[in-house]
This record gives sequence, structure tokens and C-alpha cells, in this order.
Amino acid sequence: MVLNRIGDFGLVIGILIIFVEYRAVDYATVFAVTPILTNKVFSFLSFNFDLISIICFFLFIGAVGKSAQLGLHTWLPDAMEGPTPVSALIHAATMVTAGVFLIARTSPLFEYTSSMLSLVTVVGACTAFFAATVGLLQNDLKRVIAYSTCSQLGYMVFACGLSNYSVGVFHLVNHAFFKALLFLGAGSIIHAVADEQDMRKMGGLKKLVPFTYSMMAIGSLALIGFPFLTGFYSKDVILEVAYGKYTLEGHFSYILGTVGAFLTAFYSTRLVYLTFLCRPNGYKSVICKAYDSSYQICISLLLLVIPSVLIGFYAKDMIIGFGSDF
Amino acid sequence: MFTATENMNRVDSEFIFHIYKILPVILSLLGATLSFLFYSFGSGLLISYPILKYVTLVLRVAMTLADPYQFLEVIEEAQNLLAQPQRVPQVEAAAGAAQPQRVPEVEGVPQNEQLPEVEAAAGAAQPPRVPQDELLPGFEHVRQA
Repeated sequence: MVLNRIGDFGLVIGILIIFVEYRAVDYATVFAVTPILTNKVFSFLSFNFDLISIICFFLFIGAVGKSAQLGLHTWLPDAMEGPTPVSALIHAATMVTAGVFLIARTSPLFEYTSSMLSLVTVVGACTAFFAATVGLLQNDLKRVIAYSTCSQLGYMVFACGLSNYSVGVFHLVNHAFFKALLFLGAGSIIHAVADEQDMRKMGGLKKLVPFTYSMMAIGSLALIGFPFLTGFYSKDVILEVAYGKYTLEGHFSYILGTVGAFLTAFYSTRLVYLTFLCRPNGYKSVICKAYDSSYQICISLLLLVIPSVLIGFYAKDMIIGFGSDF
Repeated sequence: MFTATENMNRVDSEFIFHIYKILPVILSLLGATLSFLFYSFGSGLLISYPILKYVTLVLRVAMTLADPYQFLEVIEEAQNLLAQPQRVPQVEAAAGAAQPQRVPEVEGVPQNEQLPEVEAAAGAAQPPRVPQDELLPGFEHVRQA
């Protein structure tokens, strides 16, 4: 909660500076006036700051807090104490992506300050890498997925930092589907094994919950970026534009993003293996009673698995295609 | 969403080397494969004999290096080696030239019982002591010792 308040504080300060300097807070006015104010200096306590940079810095703090970027990220795994459907909705698809959306929506401000774009790129790339390394060593099923969310948010943020906002938003959309699928699948598993969340106490569930296994496998493959699944279309483009930027921060983010992709594949496969494929490690009384969830849950998983496979292919041209107005 | 013209690079990214395009996919597939193999056979590999043997060897080397008495022995041997003065080639040649002449065998006298005058001659023909200033450079501390 404290971390979110820090982010909120930054966002409020950014909005206040906008109001003081622009005398308005509506997007149209602010974006129209911004090109005129590119060289304006903001004075505070005898210190002079570039106005656009300082506004973007505080807006970015808000985005960091909300999107769980490096430094203000610890609230997201801790929030996994809540119910799994809440995690699927809020902590994967809607709320945490607000920071990425904020950066994309205020792109007319960020585009006039290259230093802040570099900062956004570096922070996003570090988050993508760092969260992947942490996810590698987690044993709680939901915390692995939470750190995976954190890592994927890093990809989105550094795509925005590379001025490819549409690519970041494309990954945001794709990620929402397969991450919600993974969270709901995780909830189904936890329900099946008597609320056990430790992966070390699972195993051998492949034959006991085959439907959930197939859903989780598809979600994990989409997260990994397996060719022609949803994650592949967006993550691949993000790393392409990172290298194609031909700048120091571009290559830095490409390297960290590529290593992060390797780590993502590693911990996703680890999750599937420890949960479904290895020998049963839980209590016999629990494992033997594991069963697939009711048809309501299965229907929701089915509804999510279809876009997790197809949305990347079908939405690619619409969102990031050349000449697209998105 | 707005992108400044100088920041547009989507077209440039289409023309990067193919290896940089497919490297993330390759690494992803590699990561998944390695993870599966590691968790399938990793525990067996960790306790298998070759790795244990290797680990034991490494541990032995590490313990040897960490043992202070081993170091003392090595240092002592090195000091002994350094304490023996090495001779320069000219001195060696001079020493060879000053070797005692082989005494012809005297009938009735065993080889190991040389005559007193012969022993005296052999003593006189001992190689001259190497002058201290002819020691190899770097061995001055030996002279001081």
C-alpha cells in the first residue's frame, strides 16, 4: 500500500505541475501546448528543471507504482494473497496495465523528452530481467505468475520507452488474455489440491486434472512466446524494435529482454513440470481427491484460451500494422 | 498515441539481421527445453558419480590450497631450492677444467683406498669457491644468508 501511495504521490505532483504551467488538465489542451513549452524551465527552490522532463518524471513514477516496475514492484506478489479471480482480473489484465496505458496516453509529452524516454526504457528492461530472475526461484504458484506479470509489464514499459507505444499496448492486450488464463488455471489447480499453493507439494496432476493441465500448458506456451501463439507476435516485435533502435538503451533493453525471454521460458516450464508432470509430492489424501473444476470454470478457461492462441495473429495488423491508425 | 518522426524505427527494425530476430525465439525454446531436462534428470545428474568425482577433486584441490601447512611445506621447499647457488657457465667450465686427474690404479691397492699423496693431489684440485659477486642476479639474499 505504501508503494502504491508513492506512485500516486508522483502522479499527483505531475498533474499539479501540469495544472500550474498549462492552466488545464485535459489532454487536448495539454498536448496542443506542449510543443510550445519544450524549452521552458521549471524553477523550484532555486533549481531549474526542464518542464516537460519533470512532468514526465513524476508521471512515470505514477506508472512505476501502478505497473509494479523495479523499485515499486513488491506490492504485486504480495497482493497474491487475495482470491485468484481477483488476481486474474486486477493483477494481470486491468489495473497493473494502467501504468503502461498512462505512458502510452501521455506519449505527446514523453516524445519531447529523450532523457525520460531513456529512463523509461532502462527501468522497463531492468524490470523485465529482474522479475524473471525472481520468478525463477519462487515456489508459490501464484507468486510465479505474479513475477511473470511484473516481467511482462517491463517489456511493455520498455516498448513505450522506445517510442513504440502501439507495440507496448499490443503486448498489453495479448498478455491480458493469456495471463488471465494462467491465473484462472492456477485457481483451478489450487482448488483441486485443497488450497495448496506450494508447487513443491503438487506434481502428478496431469492425469488427474487433464483439462486444467491443457489450459495451463497453452497459457504457458503463449507466455513463453512459442511461435504462432499470442505472446510470440508481441514479444518478438518488442525485441525487434529494441534492437532496431540502434541506441545504447535500445541494445541494452534487447539484451536484457532476450535473456528475460530465456528465463521466462525456464520458469514457465518449471511451473508446468512441478505442478503436473513430476511425481506426486503432496499428501496422498489430497492428490487422490484432485479433480477438474466445475463446468463454469472450464467454460471461462475455454473462453480465454481461444484469444490466447489467436488474438496475436488476428490483431497484429490492426494494432501494430504499418499504416494503422491505432 | 503520438510518435515523433525522429523516434520512428519500426521500418528500421524490419531490416535488422535475421539472427537478432530469431534469437529470442531460439532462447525461449532452449530455456523451455533446458528447464524440462533439468527438472526431469537434473536431480539424477547432480548425484551421479562423474559429477561427484569432479566435485570431490575440486574440493580436494581447494582444501589443499586452503591448508596452511601445505603452503608452509611448499614455501620451505622453494627456499631450499633457492638457497643452492646456481653457477654461471664460465664458473662451471672452470670447475670442469680443475677436476682432479684420474690416478692410475696401483697394483695391490684397492680403488677406494688411494694413496695419501694422491688424496692430497685430489684435495688440491678441488674446484675453486665461486666468488660471491659471480652469483646469478636475484640470488643476493642467498649470499646474505
